[in-house]
Amino acid sequence: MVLLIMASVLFSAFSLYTQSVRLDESQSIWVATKSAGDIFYLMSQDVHPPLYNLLLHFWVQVFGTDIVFARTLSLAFFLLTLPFIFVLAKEAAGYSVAYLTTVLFALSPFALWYSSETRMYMLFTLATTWSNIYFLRVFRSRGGQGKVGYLLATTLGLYTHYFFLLVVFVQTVYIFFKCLAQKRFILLFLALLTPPFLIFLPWAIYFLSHGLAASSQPVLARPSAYNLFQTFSDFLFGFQNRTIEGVLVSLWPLLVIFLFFTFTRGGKIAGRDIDYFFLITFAPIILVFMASFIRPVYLSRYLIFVLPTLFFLIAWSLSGFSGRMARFLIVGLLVIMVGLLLYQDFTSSTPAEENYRGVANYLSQNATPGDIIAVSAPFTVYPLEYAYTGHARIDTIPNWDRYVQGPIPPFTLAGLTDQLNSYKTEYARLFLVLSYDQGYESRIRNYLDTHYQMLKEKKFANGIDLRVYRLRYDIPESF
Amino acid sequence: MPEEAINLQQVSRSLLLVNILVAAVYFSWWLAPGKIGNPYLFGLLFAGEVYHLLMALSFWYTVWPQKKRHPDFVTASSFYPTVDVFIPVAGEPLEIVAQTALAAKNLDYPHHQVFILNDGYVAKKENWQEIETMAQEMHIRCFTRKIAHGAKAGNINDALQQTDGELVAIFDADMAPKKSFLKRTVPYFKNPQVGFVQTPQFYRNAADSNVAGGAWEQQEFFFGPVMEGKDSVNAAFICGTNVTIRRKALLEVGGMQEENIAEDFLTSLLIHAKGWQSYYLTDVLSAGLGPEDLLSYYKQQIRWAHGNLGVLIYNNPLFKKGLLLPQKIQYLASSLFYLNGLIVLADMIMPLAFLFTGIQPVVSSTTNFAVFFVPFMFLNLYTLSVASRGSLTFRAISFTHSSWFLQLSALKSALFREAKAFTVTPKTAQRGNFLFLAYPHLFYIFLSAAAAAVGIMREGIDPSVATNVAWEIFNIITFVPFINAAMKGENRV
Repeated sequence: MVLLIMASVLFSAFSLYTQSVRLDESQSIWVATKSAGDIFYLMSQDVHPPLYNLLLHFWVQVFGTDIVFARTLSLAFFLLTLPFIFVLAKEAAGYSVAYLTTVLFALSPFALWYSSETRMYMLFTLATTWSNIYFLRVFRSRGGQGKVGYLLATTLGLYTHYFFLLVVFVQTVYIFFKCLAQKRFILLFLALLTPPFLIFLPWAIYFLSHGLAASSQPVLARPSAYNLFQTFSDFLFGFQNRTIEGVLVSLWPLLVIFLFFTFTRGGKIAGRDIDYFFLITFAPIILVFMASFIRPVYLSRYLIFVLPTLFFLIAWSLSGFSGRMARFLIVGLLVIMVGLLLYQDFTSSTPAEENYRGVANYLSQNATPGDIIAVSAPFTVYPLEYAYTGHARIDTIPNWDRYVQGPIPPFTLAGLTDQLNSYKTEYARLFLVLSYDQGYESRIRNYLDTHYQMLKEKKFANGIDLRVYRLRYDIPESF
Repeated sequence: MPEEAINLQQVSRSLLLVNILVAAVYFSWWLAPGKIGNPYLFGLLFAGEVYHLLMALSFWYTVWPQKKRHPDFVTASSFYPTVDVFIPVAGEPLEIVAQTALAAKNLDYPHHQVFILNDGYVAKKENWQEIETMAQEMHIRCFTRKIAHGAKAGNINDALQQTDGELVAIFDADMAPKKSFLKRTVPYFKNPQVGFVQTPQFYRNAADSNVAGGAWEQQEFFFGPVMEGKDSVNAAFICGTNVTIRRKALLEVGGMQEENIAEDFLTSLLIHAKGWQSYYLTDVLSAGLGPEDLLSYYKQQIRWAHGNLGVLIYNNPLFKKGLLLPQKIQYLASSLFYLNGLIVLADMIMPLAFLFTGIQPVVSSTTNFAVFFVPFMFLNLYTLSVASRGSLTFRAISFTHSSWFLQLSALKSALFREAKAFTVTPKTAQRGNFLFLAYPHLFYIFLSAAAAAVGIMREGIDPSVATNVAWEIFNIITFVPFINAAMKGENRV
C-alpha cells in the first residue's frame, strides 16, 4: 500500500510541474497574495468560504507564489486525507476494506487531479472525511464519543465549502430516521451542531451583506442525465476526452452488475452503518442534481467530498467475493484507473486542462508593447496575467476593473466599439484571447471579423482561442 | 446457514412505499411518448418490463408487514392426534433412507407410526428389496408398490388408503426430521380449519457442494421472506416434504394431485380453495440433501417449472373458485415466476439485435433511461437484501437467471402437454461433465462476441455500441457461476 501511495504522490508531483496554471488556481493565488482583511472581503464576493484562501495566504508567504509550491498545499491535504479514509473504512468494515478504500482513493485520477490544484477541494474532502468519522462515532456511541472531533470537523467544513451544508443535512436526516424514538439523542445531536453554526454565523451574515456572490457566480448549464453519469466516470476514471468519456459513461449497465454484487453478498463481510455510506454518497449528488433544475450548481468537483465514501462502498462490495473473483475485479479496476490516470496526465486532450501557460508563452514571444492583449471572459485575466511575462498591456472585454466592488459590467456592442476605437489610437495589433464563453463570445468574434483584418488564429487546449487583428494600417502588417 | 430458523427481517412499509413510488417514476419513462424504435422489439422489451414490475409488486405485497396470524397455543399443548409419517422412497441410497427412517421413528410424539412408501420396484431401482429388509429390521411398515401410477403423488395416495392416522407427515427419503417436528407442527391442528403446516427444506450439504450451495441459497430466500409472506395471507403451499397434512383435507381434494408433476403446489391450491387454512413455520425442523451436481439441479428445477406453469395454464389460480384474492395473487405470482425464462431471453436478444443489425427497440438517450432505471434496480436489490437479511447471494441470482433455457423447455412441455416423468432429485453426486447444460449460455457468449465485433465494425466504439456490449457483459457475468457449476461435474467444494 505504501508503494501505491508513493506512486500516487509521484503522479501528483508530475501534475504539479507539468500542468499549466488554471483559471481558478490563478484566482486563488491572486486572492492569497492580499492581506487577511482583503481576503475576507474578496471571498465575501466569491462562491466559496474563505478558509482555504486564508491558509493559502500563509502558505505562499512561506513558499512563494510559484504555482508548483502553491499546489503543494493541496497535496498536503491529500496526503493527510489518506490515513483518515483508512480509519473511516476500518471502523466500518475492517482492515481489508480499509486498505482497498485507501488505495482506490490514492490512485483515483480525480482525487490526484485536485491534489495538484490550488483550490479548496482536497481540504473539503479532508473535512468531510473527518466529519464522517466523528459523526459515526457520535452516532454509534449515542453521543458518548467523537463530539469534539465532530464539532471541529463541522466548523472546518462549513468554512471550506458551502456544499458542506449538504453533509450536515444528510447527517441530520440520518439521525432523525435512525433514532426516531431517541429524542434525547436527537436533541444532543442538534446541540452539537449549534457551536459550528454559531461560529459560521458571522461569516454568513458578512457574506449575505455582500449580496451572496451574485456577481461572481459561474454561469452553469442545467445538468442532463449524461452529466450525472459523467460525474461517476470522472470520480472513477478522471477527466477524459469526449470519446473515452462517452464510452465510459455508456458502460453504465455494468453499474447494475455492481449493484447486484453489492446486494447479493450472502452476508459476507458485514459492514457497520452501510446505509449511512450509501446516503452520504448518493443523496448529495441527487440533491444537487435536482436543485440544478431550479438553479444550476452542478459541477463534479463540488461533489468531490463523496469520493472517499464512494470508494469505501466499492471496496466493501468487492471484498464480499471469493478470493479469486475479488482479486480479478480489484486488479482490473486498479489497472483501468491507473491506465486512465496516465492518459489524463499525459494527453493534451484532457478537458479540464487549461493551457493558459501556452497562450502566455506565445504572447510573450509575439506581442510587443505596441500591441494590446484583450481577454474575454474578463475573469480569465487571472491565469493569463499569472503566466504572462511580456510587456504588452492586458485588458478585458468588457472592460472590468477588478479592484472596484461590484459585478463584471455587462457586454454591449457599443462598449466594444468604444473600446476598440480607443485601442486604435495607441496600438497596432489586438491579441484577443477567448475562453469561458459567457454568452457573448460569438458577438465579439463576429464584430472583429467584419470590421478588422484577422492576421492569425491559433487554438490552445481546451477551447482557448487566440486571434490576432490588425488595428491600424499606417504600420506594416507583421504576420 | 440456519440451525434453528430461516433468517428473516421485516421490511418497513416506508421502504416498500418508496419502492412503489420509484417504480411509478420508472414506468413514467416507458409511458412517455416518442420512444418507440422498432415496434416489435419495443413491445418485447416493454412486456418484459411489465413482467418485472408485476413480479416486483407481488414481492412487495408478499413482504408487506401484516398482523400476526399464528395462534398462541402452538408451543404448549396436550393435543396429540394420531399421525402417520410417510417416507416416499424411489431408489435413494439405503443409508440415507435408514437415517431418515430412524429420525422419524425417534420423533418426540406419543401417537405416530412411520411408513416407508417404497416405489423402488416400480421405478426399477435395484435396492427396492434392501429397503424392505431394512424396514423390517427397523420394525417399520413398508408399502412396496407393484403397480405404478402418479409417481410420488400416487405413492402417497396409495398409502393413504392403507392407513388411518388423523394427520399425515411427509418426509422425502433424505429429509431427516428433528425430534421436535411433530410437537411443533401438530398443535396447529387443534384448530379444525387447519389443513396443513409446512416447514422449510434445509440442505445440510449446502457447504459441501457448489450446486447444493446455490440451490440452498435460492431455497433460503424462498423459505424465508417469500413463504413467510405467503403465510401471512394464508397462501403458503405444500413443498412436497417436511409437512404435516390433515388427512381429511387431503382426501377432500382427492388426495395428492397426480396429473400435475408439481403435485404439492396444485394440491395446496385445491386445499385452500376448499377453505382450509395453512401455516408455515420458519423453524428448520428437518435437514436433507440438495442436488449436488448441475444435472440433478436441472431435473429438479425443470420439474418445478413444468408443474407450476401447468397450474398457470390449466388451473389458473385467478379463476379458481374458493380462493380469496390475496391467495390468488400469491399462487399466480408463484406460477408466473417460471415465465422468467421468456423475459431473460428477450433481454438477451436486445443487444444482439442492435449490434448485428443496428435496429434499436427504443429511441432515447441511454443515460436518460439509466437515470430512471438504476434507482429502480437499486431499491429492488436493496429491498431483497433487507428482506433476506443479507443472505441473498449472487450465485442464487445467477442460478435463477441462467435457468432461462430450462424454463423455456418447461413452458413448451406445459403448453403442449408433453409428459414429463417425475424424477427424484438424486441424493448423491452424479458423475460426469454437465457442460452440455450450459451450451445455450456458451452459445450466447459466442454470439455476443460476434455481435460486438459486427457492431464495432459498423459503428466504431460509440456510446450505443458500448451500452449494448455492456448489456451483453451483464448477461454473461450472470451466467458465470452457472457455467462454472456445469464445468465442474460433481462440484464438491
